[in-house]
Amino acid sequence: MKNRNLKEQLQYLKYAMFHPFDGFYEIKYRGKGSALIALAILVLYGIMQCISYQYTGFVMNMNAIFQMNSISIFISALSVFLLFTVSNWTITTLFNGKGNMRDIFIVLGYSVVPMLLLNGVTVVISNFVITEEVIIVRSLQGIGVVWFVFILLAGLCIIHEYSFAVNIKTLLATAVAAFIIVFLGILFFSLMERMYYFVVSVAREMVRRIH
Amino acid sequence: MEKKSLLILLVFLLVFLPTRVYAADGKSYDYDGYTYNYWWNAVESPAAFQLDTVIDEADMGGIKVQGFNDVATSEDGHIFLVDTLESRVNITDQNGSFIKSLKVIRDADNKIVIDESGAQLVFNAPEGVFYQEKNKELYIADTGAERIVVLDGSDYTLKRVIKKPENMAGVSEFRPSKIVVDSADRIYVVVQSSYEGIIELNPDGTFSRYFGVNSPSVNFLDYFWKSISSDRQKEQMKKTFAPAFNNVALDSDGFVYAVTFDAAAEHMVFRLNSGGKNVLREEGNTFVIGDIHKMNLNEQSQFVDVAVKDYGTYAVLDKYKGRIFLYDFDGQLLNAFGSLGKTKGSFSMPTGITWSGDNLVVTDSALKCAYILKPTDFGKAALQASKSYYYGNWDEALVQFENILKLNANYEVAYVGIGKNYLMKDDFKKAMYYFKLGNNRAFYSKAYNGHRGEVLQENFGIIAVIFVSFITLILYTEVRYHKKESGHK
Repeated sequence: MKNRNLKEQLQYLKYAMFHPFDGFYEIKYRGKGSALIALAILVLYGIMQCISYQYTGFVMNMNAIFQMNSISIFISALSVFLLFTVSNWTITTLFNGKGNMRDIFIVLGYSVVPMLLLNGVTVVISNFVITEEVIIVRSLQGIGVVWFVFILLAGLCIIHEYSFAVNIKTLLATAVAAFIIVFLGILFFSLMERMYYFVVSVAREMVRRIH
Repeated sequence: MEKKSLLILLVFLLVFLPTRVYAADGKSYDYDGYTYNYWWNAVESPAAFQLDTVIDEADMGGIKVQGFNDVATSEDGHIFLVDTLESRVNITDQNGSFIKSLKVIRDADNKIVIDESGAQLVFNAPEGVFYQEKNKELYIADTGAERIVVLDGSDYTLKRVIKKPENMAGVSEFRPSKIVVDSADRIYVVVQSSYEGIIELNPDGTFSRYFGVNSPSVNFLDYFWKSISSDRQKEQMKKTFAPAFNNVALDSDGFVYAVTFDAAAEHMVFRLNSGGKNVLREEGNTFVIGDIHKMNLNEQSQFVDVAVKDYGTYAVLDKYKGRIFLYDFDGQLLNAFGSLGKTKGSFSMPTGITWSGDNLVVTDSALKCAYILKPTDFGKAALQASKSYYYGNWDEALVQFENILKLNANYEVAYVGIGKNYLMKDDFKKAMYYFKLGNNRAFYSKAYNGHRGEVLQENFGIIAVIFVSFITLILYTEVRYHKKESGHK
């Protein structure tokens, strides 16, 4: 039973890739989506970012591989999506969006699939191209990005029950919200750092006095 | 017991001997060099030059030295050093031994020349000097007296004096500071802080034109404010002037090299063609800007002089950090070295640089001396490789590049050089290996193209089979699909 369920969910993933409006309607209102699959896709995307950093062909790869940090690549790839999910949710709750956080996460995860697949293809192809052919690989990547944006816009429209114009407005507001979240995050962490060093220095002072 | 002390002695020797050998083998250089790699990180390298001779007052036979402002050399090895404050031009041979000092000018009959006001013709704060090989003439930019003095190159007697041309246009004052003369006897004069370009004079001393106007780089923010401000506001704004050149040199093909250190300039080093356009090649990992300033624009190198070798390798002198940057004709940084300081060999306010054979002569206006720098083993190999590469002697270049790699395995230029050699011989796999080590994508792609062609040719049969079967598979599935579809209907 569970197996069949997973198979069905994967079929709806494929359906959402090519028919995003219908697909996400089914996913939202008939419960055909899975947050777990979305999470798995995002994790795969993070891994794909690491792979493409290292294994993109030499002609196209401008990265300094000797200073590669796969953990930071992975985390920075995923944190963008997390940030988007949180900030889009905060904004759409204010703008009467019908989607909850799980819906947003599923839409995001599902819409990454074409980009993920095309990235995989381009990493392989990039090992067999010369400078003149780089443009082909780049346009393949471009198709992946455009596809991703299209599915994301369609999916958000469906789950929030928005018109296209409102959707764009909320996305702009999402960018502002994301900026504020990042700002607060940096503020928080720098204050925490100061507090930490304050406590540490007080503790050190005390240890010295006691001795 | 004896064994133990022997052992201690052995350990002692093993620890201390190698360092002593290292210090005495002539490979510990005065300067620390570096280059920039593909990612613009500084990479340590041996310096290309080391201090050989210091020319100071003690060598000058009792003539006072205040600090040299410019230097020129002739092919027979004479070095001409301009001392602006003392108003003298001191002449030494290539080893720095004093020959003559010029202050009062004599004519061919060994009489002191009298100018039109009845005074003796003496230098007044000269700032530049140039030796023209073709006519064996010594040109001196006599800045304070606003004239150019031309002397005979062998006995240093007066040939002629060039004053401000009567037909000179523009607002620049005629205070010649630096000067070069090409093989067609055209005189290129740099006037400090002139935004009209280099003054070009005809061989007879009449004004020809302004040459090579330097375009300023426009700040986007400034551009925005200027575009929305009124005419009256514009009047009160700071004007954007074309940055001034502050030094010139001449290469063997007759191109004029010029440098500027104006922070507003788009380029720092210029190779001007006869139309005054910049045709400097900047094909290296970095642009020809000296030190790379990733964040702070105020920390960019300030080039005061450039010296060009006949195979296109040039050295530029940076007064901001007292460094010498060596570039090849492609604009690839070969080496950077030198520093500001008070110790022997470091610079205080460097002003001029020129080649004397394979040596460099560097002047400094604050130190009362000039330095002759001679290439180190690394520098010799780098110059030789650059020369062979320029003239297309590939095999010799390969040998030199391999020598360089023994001295500096972090040297991308050498890897690329070796790669190019293998590419010429159609040895694509080796070429790819070296281009990868040298981080050169463009040439790697060329080599890979060749390699891919070879592989495709060798395995043409297999590839054709795969391709044909792929097409058949597609056709087969299409046909089956359509049959199924029509069957349903």
